[in-house]
Amino acid sequence: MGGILSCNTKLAEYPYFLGNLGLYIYSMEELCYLLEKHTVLFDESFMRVDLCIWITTQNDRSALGKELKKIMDTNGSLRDFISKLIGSIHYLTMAEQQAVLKALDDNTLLPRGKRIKCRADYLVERKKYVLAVSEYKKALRALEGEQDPGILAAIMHNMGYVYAKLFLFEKAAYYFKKAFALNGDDQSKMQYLASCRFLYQKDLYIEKVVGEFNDEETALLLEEKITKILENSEENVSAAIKEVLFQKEAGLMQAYNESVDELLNKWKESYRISIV
Amino acid sequence: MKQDKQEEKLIYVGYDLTDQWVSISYSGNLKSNPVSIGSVVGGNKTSIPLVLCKWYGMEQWCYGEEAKRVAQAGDGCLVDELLHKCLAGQQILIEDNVYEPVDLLKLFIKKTLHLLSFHCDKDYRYILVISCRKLNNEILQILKQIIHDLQIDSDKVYFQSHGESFFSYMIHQEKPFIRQQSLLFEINHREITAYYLAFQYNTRPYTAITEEFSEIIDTEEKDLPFKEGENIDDMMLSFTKKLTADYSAASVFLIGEGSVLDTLSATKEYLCRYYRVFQGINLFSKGACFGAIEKDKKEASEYQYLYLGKDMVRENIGILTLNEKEEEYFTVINAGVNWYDAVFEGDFILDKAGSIILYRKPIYPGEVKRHEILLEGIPARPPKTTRIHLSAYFNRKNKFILEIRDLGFGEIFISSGKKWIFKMDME
Repeated sequence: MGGILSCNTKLAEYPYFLGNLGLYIYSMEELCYLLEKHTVLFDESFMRVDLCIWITTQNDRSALGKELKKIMDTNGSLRDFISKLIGSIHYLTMAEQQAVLKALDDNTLLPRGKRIKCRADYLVERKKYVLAVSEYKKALRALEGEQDPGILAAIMHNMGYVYAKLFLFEKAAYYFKKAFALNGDDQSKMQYLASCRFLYQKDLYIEKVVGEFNDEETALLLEEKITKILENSEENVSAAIKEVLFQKEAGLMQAYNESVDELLNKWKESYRISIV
Repeated sequence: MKQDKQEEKLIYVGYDLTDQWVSISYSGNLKSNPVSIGSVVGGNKTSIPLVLCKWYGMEQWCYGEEAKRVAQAGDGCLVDELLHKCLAGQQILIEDNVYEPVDLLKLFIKKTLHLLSFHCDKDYRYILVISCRKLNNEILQILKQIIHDLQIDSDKVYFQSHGESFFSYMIHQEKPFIRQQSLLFEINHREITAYYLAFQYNTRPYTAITEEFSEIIDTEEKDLPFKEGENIDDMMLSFTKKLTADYSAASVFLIGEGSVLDTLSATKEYLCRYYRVFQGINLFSKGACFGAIEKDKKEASEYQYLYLGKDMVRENIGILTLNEKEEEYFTVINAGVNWYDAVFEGDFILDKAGSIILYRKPIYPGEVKRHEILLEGIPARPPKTTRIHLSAYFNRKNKFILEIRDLGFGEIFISSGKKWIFKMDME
């Protein structure tokens, strides 16, 4: 059996938006948690005046807010800033705080572009796709002149994935193709073909497959996968959709209309989150 | 007296509310004695009859002595026994209009609190203690509703019984008074209530207890042990002799309206032979005022006394929390406060626990009791990513309630909205 910790800060009435993470936070404890779990995602851009103001006004920690502002005004380091912050909120143990500071020190050895890529990957996990694209582009700019094709290919591939999630298949295809050119990875090739499959009419798609890659085998593999998905579509349909279909078949039109509205609103909301 | 403009504009107000009258006392600080105020500025009378009068033909109300005069002149309809009517839920019919007694009591309290503005600077704030003979759930609900409707800051309003007001008054008197037992008789036309106050000096902090006794006077309502034809003075003398035989005291206080106290010649003669006797009407409001000062920690007196009234919570209630992986005790409810003042609101973060352990520690050495509250159905999340809100309070004497709500962890882990309620009988 574990224990419980008392909170020495209150929940904010107005949350703070951590732009790099695409996340709203409501408490200092959440901030400390993110600092511990995703230290690599925090850089100098984290030190902001509006964060100090939020800590002062929304968390009743005016002394801490002032001290953090002072660190910024005297050109203090990110390490000093974060050390002061996590040391004032009794959420992380001393050992955990030390681990955060060590991770920060290790981060300084990591190229900036790779750090930005980590941030972008986190945004993809959180389904913040538009923000992720922006970060991946920053990462590419930071890695100009990078000799290791692996990291560049990984970024390209992930960008392709994100664009596909946004139903922007033309851009998805572009980046998957670039990734394949760098890494020769079959996964990138398969995803490129899949993007083209959704983008083009069948004749044009076949022309592209034959014309560009001369790789019928991969194309057939893709077709098999798609066929399997469609065959199993009945099983794959979510319970919510099944419920809607049942209501329609049963003639429960009011319930059907309400369920359709609810489902659509849910999908819209989910899409909205991804483009924030 | 007007407050010096240089002083902080915070005053301490004691408001004694009985079924017959209201008495208001206020003070700027511990050093100055509370001053009692009446409805007539500069007048001598410091008790305000708890009556309202509606002018016939108008939606205008007056209160106190003016209400009595207007009603006597036949110009309005008098409404009395407001507190009794509130408790009975008895609506009042005047000129074909029905009035809720709580609304009228609210009007009365609003008008009488406004009297403070004649004595204090215009931007004053106050800490208010309302004193009543008995405080039960019904009276508290009515008064808290009134406080809320009048938009008085509820963080600055407290309640205490007459027994506790007696205690608050006595600990701010000169030391010889404090060291000795005292008796107080509260007399109105319906009943006599006696309070016996005793201090104990073998504990730290020192403690004080009151015992309460009452005798009904109103012959229309009860069968009495007294003989037919006896008047209040006879009843009071008999009651006094009975109590003073069993309880020794150095001082006796007689509290009541002048018209009633003036009839107690035989009682006073008897008491004055053996005791120091004091009489008046505003001891409870002054005691409540001292109570308000004590509630404001900045001004709290040096006296380390704990009042063990019957409404007092006699056990500390707390939970174990983690601090750097070491367990430490966190007090949720402190013993020594009245059950109706014992409230806690706070947030905690669960480490790995799916339960909360509650501990009860009595004031005096005794068994520490442990209760485990299982948070059934709480979503599985990583350690330290579940914020919970605890609300602890008593809804009745000895009936403790702990409400626990899952707040999630912001956008990282959305709240499930789940709530758990734990009830504990502390008798």
